Amino acid sequence: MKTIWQKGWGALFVVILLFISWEASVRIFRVPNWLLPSPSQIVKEMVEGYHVYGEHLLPTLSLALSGLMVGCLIGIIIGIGLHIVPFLRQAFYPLLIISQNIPVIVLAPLLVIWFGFGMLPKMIVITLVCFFPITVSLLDGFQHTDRELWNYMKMAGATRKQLFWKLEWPQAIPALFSGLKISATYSVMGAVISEWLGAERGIGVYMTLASSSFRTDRVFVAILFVVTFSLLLFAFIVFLEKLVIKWDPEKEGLIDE
Amino acid sequence: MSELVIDRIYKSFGADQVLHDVSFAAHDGEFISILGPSGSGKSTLFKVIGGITRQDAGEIYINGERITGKSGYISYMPQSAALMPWRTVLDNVLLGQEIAGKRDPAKAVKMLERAGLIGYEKRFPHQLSGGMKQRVSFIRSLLSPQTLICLDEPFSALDEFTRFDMQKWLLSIWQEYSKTILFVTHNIEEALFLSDRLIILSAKPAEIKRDWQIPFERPRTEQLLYTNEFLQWKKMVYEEIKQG
Ligand SMILES: Nc1ncnc2c1ncn2[C@@H]1O[C@H](COP(=O)(O)OP(=O)(O)OP(=O)(O)O)[C@@H](O)[C@H]1O
Ligand SMILES: [Mg+2]
Repeated sequence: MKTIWQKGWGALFVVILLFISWEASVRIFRVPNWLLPSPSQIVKEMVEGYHVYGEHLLPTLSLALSGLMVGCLIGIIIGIGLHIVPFLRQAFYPLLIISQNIPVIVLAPLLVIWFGFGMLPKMIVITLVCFFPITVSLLDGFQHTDRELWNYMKMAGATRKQLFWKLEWPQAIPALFSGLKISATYSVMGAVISEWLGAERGIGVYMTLASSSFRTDRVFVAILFVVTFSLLLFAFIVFLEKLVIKWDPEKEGLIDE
Repeated sequence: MSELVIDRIYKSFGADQVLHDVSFAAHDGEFISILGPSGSGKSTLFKVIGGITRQDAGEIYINGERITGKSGYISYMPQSAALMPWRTVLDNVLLGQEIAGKRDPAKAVKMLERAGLIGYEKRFPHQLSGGMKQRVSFIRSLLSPQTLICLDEPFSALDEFTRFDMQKWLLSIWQEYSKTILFVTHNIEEALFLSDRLIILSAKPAEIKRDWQIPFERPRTEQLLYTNEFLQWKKMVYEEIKQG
C-alpha cells in the first residue's frame, strides 16, 4: 500500500511539472487560444462554462455504464461458451482477434446505415469495445484451473456442471476482474465515439460542437471529463473487486508455492 | 467381505508400460501403504481407481460392484492440500459432501474441533500454516461420503516435526471412522508406522513385489519407532526397495 502511494506521488509530481511548463510555454510564446489553450484557461472554462457542458455529462456516463454492463454480460457469455465447447473456441477465437483489428470508427457509419440513429448502434459500438478484454481474460482464467483440485473433484464424482460452477468459475474471477478494469476504461471512450454517430446530448456532442467552433479550451474540458469518468469507473471496478475477492489470489492455497 | 478389489490392472502410455498386472484387495477399514520408486506408477494407479484414467486391461470392484472407469467412489487427497482459496475452511471441508449432494455443517464443525481447527472455520486457506492446510484437506476427504480414501504423498511437503504430528493425528482420527485408506509415500518409516499392510511396487513397469502385513499393535506410539523390531522392518523394506 505504501509503495502505491509513493508511486502515486511520483506521477502527481510529473503531472504538475508538465502543467507548469505548459502554462509557461503558452504565455512566453503567446500561443493563440484556438491552437493550444493554457491550463489556467481550461480550468477557467471548466468553472465558468458549466451551463454549456453540464447537460452533456450524465448522458455519457449513463451510456458508458449501460454499455459496459451489456458488453460485460456478452463478454462473459462468449467466454463461457467458448470455454465449454472446445469446438466453438477453435472456430471463433481467431475471428474474435480479427474483430479487434477493425477500427470502431470505420464500423460506426455502417452501424448507422443498418440500425439508424437510435440506442442500438451506440450499444453495439460500446459492446464491441468492451467485451473483448473480458472474454480474453476469462478464457485465460479458465485455462489456469488447478489440476489437483480438478482431479479431486472428478474422482469424487463431480459432474461437468459442478466442475464449472464450483471450480472453474470461481477460479477465473480474479482474471475476470482484470479484464473488467480494462473494459471499464474503454467504455467511456466507446460512449464518446458512439455519440459521434449522432446524439442530442453527451460529451461526444459537446466535443464536436467545440472543435467545429474552434473552442479548443472546451475540447480539453471534454478530454478532462473523459479521463475523469474512466478513472471513476476503474475505481468502481476496483471497489467491486475488493468486495468480491476476499481471499488472496496470489497464494492459491498450495503449500510452498 | 473385501471392500476394494483391484484385479490385474495393466496400463501403458504409448509404448511406455506403467502398470503391469497389479492386483490386490483391501478390506474394510484397512490402512494400506504403497511404496515404490518415483515414476513407478503410484499416482497413475490412483487415477485408474478413481476412474479418471482408463486402464488397458483389468477391473476394479467395490463391494462386488464393478466400478471400472466410473468416478465418485473414492475420495482423493493430493500431494498439495489443493484447497479452494476462495472458500473458507468450513466450505472447503464441505466440498466432498456438496458434490454428493448433501451438506452437514454440524458434523464438519465437530470434525474441525477434533483437528484443533476450531476458530478457523471462517478463515481462508492462505491464512493457515502448511500443516493446518493438510489437516483441512484430510478432513475434507473424511467428510466425503466415500468409504475409500486415497492419499497421494499427503505429508511430503511438510517438515519432519509437523509430519510426525500429522501422522499421529491421522492415526487417531482414522481409528474413529471406518474408512479404508490407500496411502502412497516415499517414506519407509511413515509407511511402517501407519499401516496394517505394506505393498511394495517395483520400478516401472510397476508390479507388486511384496505385500506384507505389518504386525505392530495398535494404538501405536512414538516408542514404537525405537524398538528393535521396527528398526529391523525398516532395514528389510529398505533392502527390498534398493534391489529395484
Ligand atoms: N498423462 C500421461 N501421459 C504420459 N505418460 C504419463 C502420464 N501420466 C504419467 N505418465 C508416466 O507414467 C509413469 C508413472 O507416473 P506416476 O505419476 O504414476 O508415477 P508415481 O509413481 O506417482 O511417481 P512419483 O512417486 O514421482 O509421484 C511416469 O513415467 C510418467 O512419465
Ligand atoms: Mg505420484
